[in-house]
Parts: sequence; structure tokens; C-alpha cells
Amino acid sequence: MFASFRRVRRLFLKELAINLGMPKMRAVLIFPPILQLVMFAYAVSLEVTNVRLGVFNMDAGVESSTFLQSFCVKPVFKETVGYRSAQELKDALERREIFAGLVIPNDFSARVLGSGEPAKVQLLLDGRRANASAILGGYVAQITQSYGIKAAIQAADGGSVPTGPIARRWFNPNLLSRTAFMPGLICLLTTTVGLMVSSFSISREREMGSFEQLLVSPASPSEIVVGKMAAAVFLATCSALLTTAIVIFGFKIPLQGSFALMLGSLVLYLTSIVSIGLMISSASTTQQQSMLGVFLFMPPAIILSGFASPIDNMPHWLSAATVVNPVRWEMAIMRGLFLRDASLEKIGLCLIPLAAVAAVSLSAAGYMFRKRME
Amino acid sequence: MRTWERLWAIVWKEWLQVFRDPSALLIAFVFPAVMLFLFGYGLSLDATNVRIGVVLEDDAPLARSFYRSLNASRYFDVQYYSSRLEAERALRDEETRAAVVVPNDFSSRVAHGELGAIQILADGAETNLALIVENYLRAAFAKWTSLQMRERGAAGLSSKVDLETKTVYNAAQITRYSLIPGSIAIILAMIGALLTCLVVAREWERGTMEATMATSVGKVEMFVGKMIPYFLLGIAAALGAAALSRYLFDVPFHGSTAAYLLTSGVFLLVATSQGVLISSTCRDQSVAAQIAVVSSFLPNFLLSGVIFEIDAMPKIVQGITYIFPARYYVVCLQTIFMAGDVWPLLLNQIGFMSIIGAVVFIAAVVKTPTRL
Repeated sequence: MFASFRRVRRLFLKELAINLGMPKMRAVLIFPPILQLVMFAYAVSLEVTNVRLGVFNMDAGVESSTFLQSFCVKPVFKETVGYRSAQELKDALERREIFAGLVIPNDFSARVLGSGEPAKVQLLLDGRRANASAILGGYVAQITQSYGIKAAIQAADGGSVPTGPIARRWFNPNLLSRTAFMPGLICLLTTTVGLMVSSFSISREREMGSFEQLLVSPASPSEIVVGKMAAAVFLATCSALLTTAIVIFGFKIPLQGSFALMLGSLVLYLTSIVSIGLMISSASTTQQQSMLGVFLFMPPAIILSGFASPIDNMPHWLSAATVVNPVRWEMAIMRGLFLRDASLEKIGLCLIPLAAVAAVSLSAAGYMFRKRME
Repeated sequence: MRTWERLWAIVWKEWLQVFRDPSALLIAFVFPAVMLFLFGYGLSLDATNVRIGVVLEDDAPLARSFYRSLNASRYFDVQYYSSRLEAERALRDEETRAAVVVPNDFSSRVAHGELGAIQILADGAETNLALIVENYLRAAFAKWTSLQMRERGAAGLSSKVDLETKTVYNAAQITRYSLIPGSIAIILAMIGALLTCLVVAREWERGTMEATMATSVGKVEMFVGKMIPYFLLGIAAALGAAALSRYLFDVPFHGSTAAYLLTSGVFLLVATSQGVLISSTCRDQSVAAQIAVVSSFLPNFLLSGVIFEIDAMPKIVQGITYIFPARYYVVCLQTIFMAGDVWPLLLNQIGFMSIIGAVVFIAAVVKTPTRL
């Protein structure tokens, strides 16, 4: 028993030495996650800002310029650009020089000041950026509405301007993208590291020829698998903790749930990721095949994790399939612990499927590795 | 031997290698189809049929009329809750994404011309959805109130400006139409890196580099020769991806095949050169593979402007996106698919990609080894 433990420890240290000893390998393991975390933290935003708004104004009155001034809302709008014809406006939109265009008719001022029909303004949006155009359309509609109401009140009798409904947002009152996306980012970067330290660990030895030496060593297949596994989970967990520390202390996004729960879920999650990595590695004879395996697993798992778009938006058969995706569960746990202040039972509901996925992939990895040894 | 003969020899050798290791063919044909399928079905930012909860504390006809107008909207899937507490619980359990509370003084406040008579609660953890649903709810309420006003002849408080919104190229604002062409860029970037990142490192590790060096092949011939077969596989993958987008996902394709092939070709030249550059710099397969894994998927997924708007990023990150060829290719793809051949825009983007391509090409040729 003790001898077995010693052998596992030797293998564990050997794996650490391989991953941390080579300068290039060490650099690939340590810097990209940190660099990517910082870079992506600023990139992941579905907000719409710095919009260039094109305007074709046929109206000569004062009202239209007051109306246009109400679009000086930073940071949503960067500037308004005037065009002399509807065609010029359309061309600019087509070439992506502007993101949206407003066409103001020549009777704008007259209708705003008059008591008859309201003025009709046309908004052109660039549908090539569908989501952003939906959000921008909402902003423009609100600005137009509040301008139009204000004008109506002034035309009537003055008086106070009524305000629209107030929205309260739970969990993230200012709708900050960074707060919403960073817990998920920890999960994504951890996934990459977990796969990198595990999926090449067997195919590399096969290709380098050191696998045979491993076979003739006194270590049994299960000891080898445990040693490789433990080293990979250890490395990936360290990397995950480093990333989490940067998120909490560097970006000041507080962890609302319990730290122990997060650490436990990370270890469980990384066990399943590393098992999947070892499965890929045992199944492949060359490192190229391992890499292909990683690419066949990682991007789909990330796309189907609910990171970029909600799982509810998928067709039912696909959202049902995400049940076996470990990234989905860890994503829910991380977002629950950071954002939603989720209760223990709700985290538990994600931990159970995660544990099941981990158990299945762990035994599959053990089985495949033993088969490979024979 | 003349240049083209040597080049041909290298191309032929790589070509045979591709066909004898099935994994390269898997990368070129099966992988893009699987990925496009997942992007197509798995990613959608559409906010239609969003589940919202409604609480009617006021039971008067006016409140009911508002409830009916929400129910009729294609944006919402309305759930009725009998109390505010229940609606809040549903929001917390993610059964709904937003809740609307119609307070007990709703009717009288609406009669007095108040525009803030309802309360909106939104799930801020889903920021994008929260923002869009709030906008929809505000617009729905404003529309309903002005209708009420006009019906009762109180035109004084209806807006003096009507906005008619027209979304050009994508009238229904279907996010898949932007996401699927965009994902072709991510997929081809990955394929380019995957196919080529090992071609030089593999030869170093297996010792065949020495044999190659003993021949009269020059640097440029070696580099170009290694690239051509993978470039052709990439073009085949690009055509397959376009066909799938057009016929399986019904994304409109208004541009020409020529424009699509030209922009894809330029992009693939850059992507495959990048892969060869990684490969020659590393000389070690596992390091090269790890760099390819780290550098090809997530950066292109998050920084190319497919999902996250580049204009909304801080200046420094925007600066970084300029070195990703995918950024320019995404613009080309979305334009070719949805708008057509807008040559001034396309040529501009091709110009940027060519500059990056030239830099990478020179670096890769310099790094292509001719000595041990």
C-alpha cells in the first residue's frame, strides 16, 4: 500500500516536472490564462456604445436640431454625421461608416409644434449586426418617445414631464457585462488549462517512445492513471484559483457564495475535464489526433454551456443534450456563487449532475487507459 | 531541378501525408460541419418568446386590457402570478427572465396620464436579455398608453413623434443571420491553425527534417509547398460551410461566390501562414498544439466581433483586435451573406488582411529552418 502510494507520488512529480520544467510549456500554461482573462474581461460586453449615427435632415426648423441634440447620450452615441440625401445615408450604412441612420422629414418642426398628426421619423438599422441593432433600436425608440412626450406637454400647457416605468434589476443592478461574464470566463479558461495538461500526456509519451518505459516500470496501470490524473487536476486547480483571485481582488467582483463550495465544485469539475482529456489522449496515437480530440470536445462544450447565449434559446432537443455537458453545470455553479447568491440546494442541484458526469468520465478514462496498456 | 518542380514535390508529399492520415481529412470536412451545426443551433441572442411573469394587483378593465396586450406580443411568453412574492420567486429560480407588476392604483394612475404606472423587475445576471426585455416592455407599455389616450380623445399626451424602424438587410433582426456567417470565420481560423500548426514541428520531432534539408529545396518553396495542400482543404471547407449556412440554416446569401472565394482565400492564406509560423517557431509538437488550442478558439470566438461588439470594447482591446484577421473576415462574411458585394467595404477589409498576411508570411519564411 505504502509502496503504491510512493509510486503514485513519483509519477505525480514526474508529470509536474514535464509540465513545469520545459520553459515553453511552462509559459504556455501560466501566461495565456492570465493574459486572456484580462483581455477578455474588457472584451465581453453585449452593450452598444460609440455608435456613429447618420442623419438626413430635410427639416429646416429648430425642432429637428433640438431633437437631434437629445441623441448626445454618451457613451451610447459617439457622434452624429449629416448626409445630404437618403441615398448617401444608405451608402454610408452599407459601407459600415455608420451603424444607424435617421431620416427626418421636412414637416418635422411644423408637426411637432402643430396640433395634428405626429411627425414621422424613420430609423434605419444595420441588420448585419442583429443583436446590437435590436438594442440600439430600443435606445432610439426611448429617446424619441421621451422627446415626443415632452413636446406634447409643452404644446399643451407645460406642466411636469411624466417619466416611464422604472426597471429594477436583480443580481446586477447596473447590468454590467463584466460582472455577468467573468465568473463564466474563469470556467472557460480553466477548461482550456485542464484539457491542455491532460490530453497530450499519453499521446506525447507514445510518440516520444517513453510510453514503453512506463509500461516496464513497476507502476500498475491504475497507479499511472492516478498519478497523471492527480498532477493534471492539481495544476488546473492552481490555475483556476489564480484566475479566481484575479477576478475577486483585481476586478473587485465579490464571491457571494462560499469559497469551500466553489473549490469543491472546481475540483469535481476539473476531475471530469481531465478524465475527458485522458480519454482523448488514450484514444489517440499521435499528438495531432489528441489536438483534434480537444478541438472536437472543447468548442462544442463551450458553445453549449450557456456562456454566450442562454440555454433557453436553444431548440429543446439541444438543450436536453447539454445535460451531459460538464461545462454547463460548472458555469451555472460559478455564476450562481458569484452573481446570484444561490442557495446551497440550488448549487447542489448542479453538483449532482456534475458529479455524475465526473464519475462516468473517470471510469471511462480508466477503462480506456488500461485497454491502451494491454 | 527548377523551382516549380521542387515546389510540386513538396506539395505532393504533403498531399499524400494528408490522405494517409485520416485525421487531417476529419479536420477539413467533419469538424466544420459539426461546428457550424452547433453554432447554428446552439447560439442565439434572439429575444422572442421570453418568459415573463405578470402580477395583477389591480383587477380593473384597464389593467386587464394591458395584460391582454402583453399576451398578444410575440416577444413574451406570459405567465400569470397571483402575488408579487410568487413572481419574485419565479424570477429567482430562473423560471422567468423578468416580471411586470401592475400595482393596485394602476387604473387611476393611467387615467392621470402617468407613464410610469407599472414596475419592471429583470434578471440582471442575463444582461443582454434584461436590457432587451426592458426595452420591449417599456415600448409595449408606451404603445398601449398612447392607444388608450387616443381612444379617449386625450391626444395631448401622446407622443408628437412617431418612429418607424427599418432594419436593413435583416428585417426581422434574426441574430442567427449574423452569428452563422460570423462563425464561419471562427471555424476557418481554427481549421487553418489545426491543419498547419504541426507540419514543421512534426518533422523536427520525427527526424525527417534533416532529410528534407539535405535536398535542394529553398525556404520559400518549402513554406509555400507546405501551405498549398492545407490551403486547398480550407477552401473546400469554406465552400461546405457556405452551402450548409445557405441550405440548412436558410441564411440569405446575397453576394457572389467569387467575392466569397476571394475573401475566404485571403483569410485562409493568413490563417495557414500563422499555423506554419507557430509550427516552425516551436519545433515541439505538444507546445505547438497547445499554442494552437489557446490562440485559435477563444480569442477568435470573443474578439472577432461575432458575438461581442468591438465598438463597445475599450481602446486597448480594440487595438488588439486589429491583429486578428478574423475581425475583417467577419465583416466581409456578414456583408456578403446579408447585403451583397459591397466592394468598397470588402476591398478595404481585404487590404487589412493582406497587410497582416504579408507580415506573417515574411516572419514564417524567415523562421522556416534550413539548417539544423
